[in-house]
Amino acid sequence: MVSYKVCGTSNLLEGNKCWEVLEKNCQLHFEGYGDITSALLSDDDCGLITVLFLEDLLQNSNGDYVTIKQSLSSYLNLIEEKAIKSTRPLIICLGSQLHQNIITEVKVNTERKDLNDWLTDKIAGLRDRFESVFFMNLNNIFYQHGAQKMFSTRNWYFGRCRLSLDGLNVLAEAVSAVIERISNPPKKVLVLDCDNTIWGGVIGEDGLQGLVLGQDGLGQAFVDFQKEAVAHSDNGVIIVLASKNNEEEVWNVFDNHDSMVLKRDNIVTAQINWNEKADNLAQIADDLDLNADSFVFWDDNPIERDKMKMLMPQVYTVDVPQNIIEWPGLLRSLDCFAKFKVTTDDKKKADQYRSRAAFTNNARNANDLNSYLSTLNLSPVMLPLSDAHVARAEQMCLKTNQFNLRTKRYSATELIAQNKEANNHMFLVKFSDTYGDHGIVALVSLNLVSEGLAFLDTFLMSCRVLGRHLEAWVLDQIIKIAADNGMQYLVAEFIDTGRNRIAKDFLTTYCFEEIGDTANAVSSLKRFNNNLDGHGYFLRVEDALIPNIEIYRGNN
Amino acid sequence: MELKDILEQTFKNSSIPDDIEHLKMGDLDEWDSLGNFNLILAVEQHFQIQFDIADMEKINSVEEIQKRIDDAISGK
Repeated sequence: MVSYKVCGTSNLLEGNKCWEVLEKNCQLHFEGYGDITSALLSDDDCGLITVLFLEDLLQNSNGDYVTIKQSLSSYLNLIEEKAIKSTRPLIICLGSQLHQNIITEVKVNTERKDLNDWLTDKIAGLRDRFESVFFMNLNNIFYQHGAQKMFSTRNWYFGRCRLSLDGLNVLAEAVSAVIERISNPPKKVLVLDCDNTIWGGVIGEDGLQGLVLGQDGLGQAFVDFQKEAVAHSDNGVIIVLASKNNEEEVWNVFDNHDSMVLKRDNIVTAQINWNEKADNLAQIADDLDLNADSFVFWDDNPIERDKMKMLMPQVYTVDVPQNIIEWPGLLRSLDCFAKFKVTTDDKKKADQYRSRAAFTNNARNANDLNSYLSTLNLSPVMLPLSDAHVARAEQMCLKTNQFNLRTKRYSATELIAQNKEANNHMFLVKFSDTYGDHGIVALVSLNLVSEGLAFLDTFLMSCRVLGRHLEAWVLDQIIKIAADNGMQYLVAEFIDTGRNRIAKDFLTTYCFEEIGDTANAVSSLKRFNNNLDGHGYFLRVEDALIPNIEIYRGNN
Repeated sequence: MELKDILEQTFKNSSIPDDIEHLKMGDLDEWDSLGNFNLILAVEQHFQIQFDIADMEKINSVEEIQKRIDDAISGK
């Protein structure tokens, strides 16, 4: 369990029930109240939650703004030093009751407001510089609940606590949401129903003109709901449809209803049929190669929601309110999609998933997979291990779990050394097709050992291109190298990691024989096999027939 | 919910005796001044009442709490 020290400029009521929401996932150690520096000076490796109230800071320096800025500057330096030393999260919360008087605030900023702005900027600066620093502006959070309700003068005079119980609850919930996101990634996929979810009415019964969508009232609420879905999509959330409907009718609404804000382009993939939604969702997860636990399911029908909760409890099924007008706001503020930052990569991700889903879906529908693949302009290119690519080669060694024969986690240095050996042939494969440029997706390291044996030290392929029989093309290149160097046998070793079953299937599909199992193995193969930890396989170089290679005809 | 439940929830690590009538601050390790503050807030939340600060300063026993709850509920 993660440990956090909690400190504040005033009493945060250690032991209060409000902190239980945080104590579910982390261990809290409260510092004595008012002590905001000890935790920064100590060397133990804890996260830190620090709650600052401007009023307390002012009180401590008798309202002298010059002194207070000086002491705050040294305090901020301590935070900076801590952020340099430790990678644990430093969560800084700042709150104040800024409002003093309407008249004194309409023409100028009060000193108090200036100090608040100055401190806000300084903390935001630290947050921008350090990944581990998080800044929670409590005034923005309290605003939604009403500052009057969040603060309590009575609690302050009674026991030096600035906040009311409501205020403490809001603070603890907010910190808990931040800590939850620090430890767990956001959800990736929003699964939407169609009828009575993205539009009002049932397309199969009400027809295009009968749908409640656009104009005023409820129709506007559905439009706004769609807008929020598009906003999530712009931030990299993958939008998919799961609807019990006739597929043409749904797309007809997308294409021909003027008020549709969601466009076909926003929809990464869809399962529109009469199957169980849980089955459809499993299919979508498969198409996208994502775990169902990164899915969020939004459906107006409580029966569909209950079924989803029962059949796929790992999916987050939103308990949607009955009243549609609450939907846009709820969808916007869902914590589960919120990210600390939206990067350009997030936006590209949706495109990547779209092409992956399109590929899997089209391939499933194509009658003859190989003739379909032949139309994709599959373009592999062999690259030597150059300085520019060594980082990617290392990354693939570390990350590839599925199509990986031996799963040797070589470092960049080890790869460079191996590549320099006279009997080693190492190459990378760069790959593109009509679905996009997939970059460098495969690594091969082939050792020419004695007695006509070529040993496949490494053959791995990124899972993002699986299903295109790229392995056939790569194997063809390997065989050519082996043949050009007068090798008779290509030897492969399968080391079972529990996750690389697909690599073993490759050996079987491509006609490798297991050395230990066959009388065909010559004695040199058998001797070699004795030195392997895993299972040795071989292929005769001279007469190797490579299945599926025809789809790469015209490439070399 | 009885006052006893609130005591149990507030002082999670203490065993609350069956007879709480004469229980007061200091009788439990957790019922120190901070614990007292947490207890008062929990009572307020549960009974939907607000004590004023003068009352809060007098509260240091189950008897005092019960008296003030009764007063608040009967509208005194």
